[in-house]
Amino acid sequence: MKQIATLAALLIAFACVVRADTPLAEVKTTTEKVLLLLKDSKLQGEEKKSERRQLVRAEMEKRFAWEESARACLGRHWIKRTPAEKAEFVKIFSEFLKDTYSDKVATYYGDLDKVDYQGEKIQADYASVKLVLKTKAKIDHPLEYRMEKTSNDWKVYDVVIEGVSMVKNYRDQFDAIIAKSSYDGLIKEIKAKQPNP
Amino acid sequence: MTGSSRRSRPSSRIRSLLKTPTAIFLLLFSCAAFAAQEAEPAAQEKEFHDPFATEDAQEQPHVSDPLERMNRTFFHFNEKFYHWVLRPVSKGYGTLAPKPVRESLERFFANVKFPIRLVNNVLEGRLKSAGIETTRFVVNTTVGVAGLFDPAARWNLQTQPADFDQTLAIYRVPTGIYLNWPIFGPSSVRGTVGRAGDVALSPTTYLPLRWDLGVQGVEKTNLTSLHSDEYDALEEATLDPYVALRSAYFANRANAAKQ
Repeated sequence: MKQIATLAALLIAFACVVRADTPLAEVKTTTEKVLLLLKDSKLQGEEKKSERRQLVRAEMEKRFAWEESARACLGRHWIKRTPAEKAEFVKIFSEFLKDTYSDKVATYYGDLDKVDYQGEKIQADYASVKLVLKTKAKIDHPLEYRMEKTSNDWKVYDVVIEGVSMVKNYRDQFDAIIAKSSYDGLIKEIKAKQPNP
Repeated sequence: MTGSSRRSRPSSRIRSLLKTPTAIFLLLFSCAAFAAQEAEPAAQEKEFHDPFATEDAQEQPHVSDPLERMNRTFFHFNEKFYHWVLRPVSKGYGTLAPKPVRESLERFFANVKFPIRLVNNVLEGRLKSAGIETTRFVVNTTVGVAGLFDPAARWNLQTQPADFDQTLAIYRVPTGIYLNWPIFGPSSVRGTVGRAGDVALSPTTYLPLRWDLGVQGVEKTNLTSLHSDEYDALEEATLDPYVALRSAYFANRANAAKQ
């Protein structure tokens, strides 16, 4: 009897240690934090813009797996690259994604009235979380976050806005660019897009 | 277990299996199990497995663009038209008309197009949506001053988007090839037929031609003035804007038909 009790206690303790938040809860936490930052009275105005942006970015960085996104964007071309090429690609393209999308999400969240969390769908180590952003002008923007389980939490690797997946869109562009020129041509184009080369 | 046995079957069998929903689920499940098995030794080497993208791929048709050269020419024309005409005109207009006025005008145009949403919601068998649209039209045309305001949205009556391309998609009409029209932008064969249907249902079509063109010009300018930031962001974020727009067009239409 005592053994069973010990076993049960151990199991419960173990369950508490490995229990991570659900993907939806993780998205909610980050979203609420970002919204609080955007509404913070100490961070309003044009002169606080860069500080506000910095804080929002830092918050999003914790929830987004930009390296995974970059890898997913390369799709079927990933396996064909050498380890050095992979490392270079992930480095430059994840930076590009971070730059373009952090501010975009921040702008999206800028004139929000409220966020409706619609639900989550989990398939093994992947999850889809759907929300509707309701603007002050009473317009609904459906948004989906696709997430991957890491060792201790869930991280976003794709954003789907009105049915358009960021990863799929880049994958199609990369396919076209590689088919028309080459992988090196693609790298050149990504580098040309960097704000400070 | 089931994962490995299913995996070893010939692909033609898998293709025929794909036709039933249960089989799709099983296939996805076995793919996930397969990915999990392989993940340990070669975590960095596996192609990124994306179960939700697999689902999308089943809904989105393969993009066919045999007229790419012509389409790209029109795409570049539209880019130039946007930068040289539409954007400067709408910026100028934007400084004259305050944002709330422009937003009201956008709501007014949307309200006028009520017949498109009503008829297509009915054709799609969405009678509840058709009812909501009718209520919205009555409320917004009266209380909302000819549609300039949207009091219905405050009563939780949101717009129920529906158009003829969406109706055709629900009737399983294939999209056909991609067409990037001058001025009108991304479309497909089905999208073009759909647009013609929408034009036939749009009340402004029945104004004298000169008036109709004027209305469309104002509508487009107004729309651009409210959304030019989004267009600029698209240019910034893409490496091949033509392909990006084409991919987004098909993804968005497939999504609209699914809702």
